[in-house]
Amino acid sequence: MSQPLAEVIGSDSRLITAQCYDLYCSPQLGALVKVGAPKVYAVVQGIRTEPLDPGRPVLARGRGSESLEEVYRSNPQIERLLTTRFDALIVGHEVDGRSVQLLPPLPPPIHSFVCACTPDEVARFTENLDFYRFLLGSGQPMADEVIVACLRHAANCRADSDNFIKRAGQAIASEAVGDSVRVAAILRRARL
Amino acid sequence: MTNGFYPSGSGGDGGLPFSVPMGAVVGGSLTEGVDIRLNPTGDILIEDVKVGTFVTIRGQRYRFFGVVTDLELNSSDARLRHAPPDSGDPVIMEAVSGTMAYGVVSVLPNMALPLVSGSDERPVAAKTVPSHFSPAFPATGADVAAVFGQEDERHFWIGAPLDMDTRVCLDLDNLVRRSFGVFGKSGTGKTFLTRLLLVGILQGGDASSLIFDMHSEYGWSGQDSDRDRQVKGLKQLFPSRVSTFTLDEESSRRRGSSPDEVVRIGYGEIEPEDIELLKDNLNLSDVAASAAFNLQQRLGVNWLAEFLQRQGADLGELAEDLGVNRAALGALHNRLSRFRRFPFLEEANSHSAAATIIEHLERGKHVVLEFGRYGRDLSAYILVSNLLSRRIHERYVELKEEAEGGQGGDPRPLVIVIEEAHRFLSPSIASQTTFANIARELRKYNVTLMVIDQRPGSIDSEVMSQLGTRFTCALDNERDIEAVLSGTSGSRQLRGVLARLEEKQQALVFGHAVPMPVVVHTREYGTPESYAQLMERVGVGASEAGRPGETREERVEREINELFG
Repeated sequence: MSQPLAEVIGSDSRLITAQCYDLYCSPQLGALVKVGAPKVYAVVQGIRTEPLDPGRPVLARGRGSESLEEVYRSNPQIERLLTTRFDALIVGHEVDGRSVQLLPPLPPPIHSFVCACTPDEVARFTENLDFYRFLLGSGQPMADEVIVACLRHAANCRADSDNFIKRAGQAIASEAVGDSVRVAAILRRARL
Repeated sequence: MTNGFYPSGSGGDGGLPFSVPMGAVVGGSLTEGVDIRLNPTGDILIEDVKVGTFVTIRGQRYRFFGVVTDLELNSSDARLRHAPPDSGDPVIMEAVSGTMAYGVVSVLPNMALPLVSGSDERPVAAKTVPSHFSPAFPATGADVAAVFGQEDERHFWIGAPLDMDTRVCLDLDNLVRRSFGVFGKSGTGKTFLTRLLLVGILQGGDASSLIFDMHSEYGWSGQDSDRDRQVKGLKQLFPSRVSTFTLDEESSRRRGSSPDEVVRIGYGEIEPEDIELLKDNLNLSDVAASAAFNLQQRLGVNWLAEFLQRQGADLGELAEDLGVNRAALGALHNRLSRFRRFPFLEEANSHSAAATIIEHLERGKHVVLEFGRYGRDLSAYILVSNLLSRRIHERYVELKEEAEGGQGGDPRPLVIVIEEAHRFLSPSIASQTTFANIARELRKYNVTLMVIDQRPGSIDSEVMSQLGTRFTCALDNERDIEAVLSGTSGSRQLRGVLARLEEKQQALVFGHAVPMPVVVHTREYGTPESYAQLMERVGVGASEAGRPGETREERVEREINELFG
């Protein structure tokens, strides 16, 4: 297993929330991550950096500083007061060593390790395109941005990226049969 | 075999369904036909599918065999119509095409075949529809053969389905059992189709045909104006089985035909009913036409000859005597005087043409009556064909009644072929013609009609309804299309098929001789190969005597050599 980069701090059947070990070291929006063992697969759908203590709001500290690096260098406590967290939508899990694009029977336990998937793992998992159904139906305001990001991420993980986008486009169109404008917008932005 | 549907490299022969269906049933009904949504990932595009082609649908209990009646472009999102995707973006186009925007093929399932190819079960008319999502495949040659039968003594190969090399066969027994019609506007191949049908009837063996050959194109030879060549008629192809009669000996000789008989008709054979039939052609009023009946009553059998001899004051007296309008009788006399221009009409004729024709027909011959130059005179055509048909029909009624009384066998079935049929069978005169009687009586007296016409809309609807099988080449006129399809199940769907027939060599066939409506590309007629194929047919030549010790192949070879030198 590759190096964990975060740990589950909130979990339900469809969504996990993870806290990154290092500030700003979250997987990218739309990236596929694997959680715990047996593996649960999830797509990153929202990243945020916030105070560790919700009672201590962040204050502006950069007056007179030349750059962002200088602000952090002058205020070393910042990295201890802030944390990066992300939400990931569960899109599949591992059964007997193979991935299935179904929700796991139980959500991953809290403190499960979260690792980024390798390009090979991404290519293997996205061979089947049923998981777009989870993304299309997530109901969150940024759902289409996440789909676009996920498409680009998955396409970059394989040699036949153009062909993948075409296949994925058909799969998305089959799921969203009544909404041609949405499908066209997703596909147009996936190739920007 | 090939089929326009088949993408290159795919299989599909041998009666086995394709491994990849063209689509699946998504809705429909028995009366309106089922809708097949084309497979978005399949190789078959909507542009590959044509109206009139065949489709097999693999249901749970049957394989349904149907014909494509309509094609529709559909979409799951109405906004596509108003905001279509950028056609320059192939990714979006590919994603949307086949998923949100897709083709729907309407198929009228006509026949139900056994699920397993090669089973002994016969195809039957479909009385149900395939269940939802049954996969549909382009029909194979084996499917077509299972439905239309293989070519044999009873099945005559008429042509090929659209875009297929396989053969569509007619059931000849069913064809001649009822009257049938060949329709189509001018220049669409009616004459060629008729020639083929006549060859089929001739080879079927059980029926004779009597052809009133208006333009002298069926007997000895005819003209293929499109290819500017002569084509052979029945007599050239089957000399020993066809007798040619002529009204115009000179014309026949000029065309190189040597007729078996020259037809002469006595004035005494013409009856008032014949005049009634010619009312429109002779521009006679009702009163004038009906005066012929009074004349016959008064003057007897030879009424016409006597009437034509009367002149001037004599006519006035006769009118007074008969109690008919003098002007009307004058008009009748004037118009009937035109008959004197017909040399085939004789005042005293002891030799009945009808009797000679019947004699030939009873010997199993097929008779072609060539009209020569009189074919251009519709009055002559109507007069002669109606008169002879009446005599022949009367004789057949006698023969049939004798057979029913145990005094002889059934008369050999007879098909009478008439052209420009709407002139005989229009609603205003249909009730008076022998032809309408023949059409109505069906096979009761073993005489049926083959009606050839370009204006079926002008034929009496009752007569049209009695036509068992209809062959329809391209038609333009709405009324004609309506008339041809009247009384046919699925006529609404067939209308779309009929409207899209090509101008040449295509015909929609439906009725008793075929198990389901079919669009055929009619087989070739007019090339040496086509003649050879027509004569090679299974079971042909049973009555054509071969030379001693000659095999069938040798005989065919010899006959071809004789024909083509």
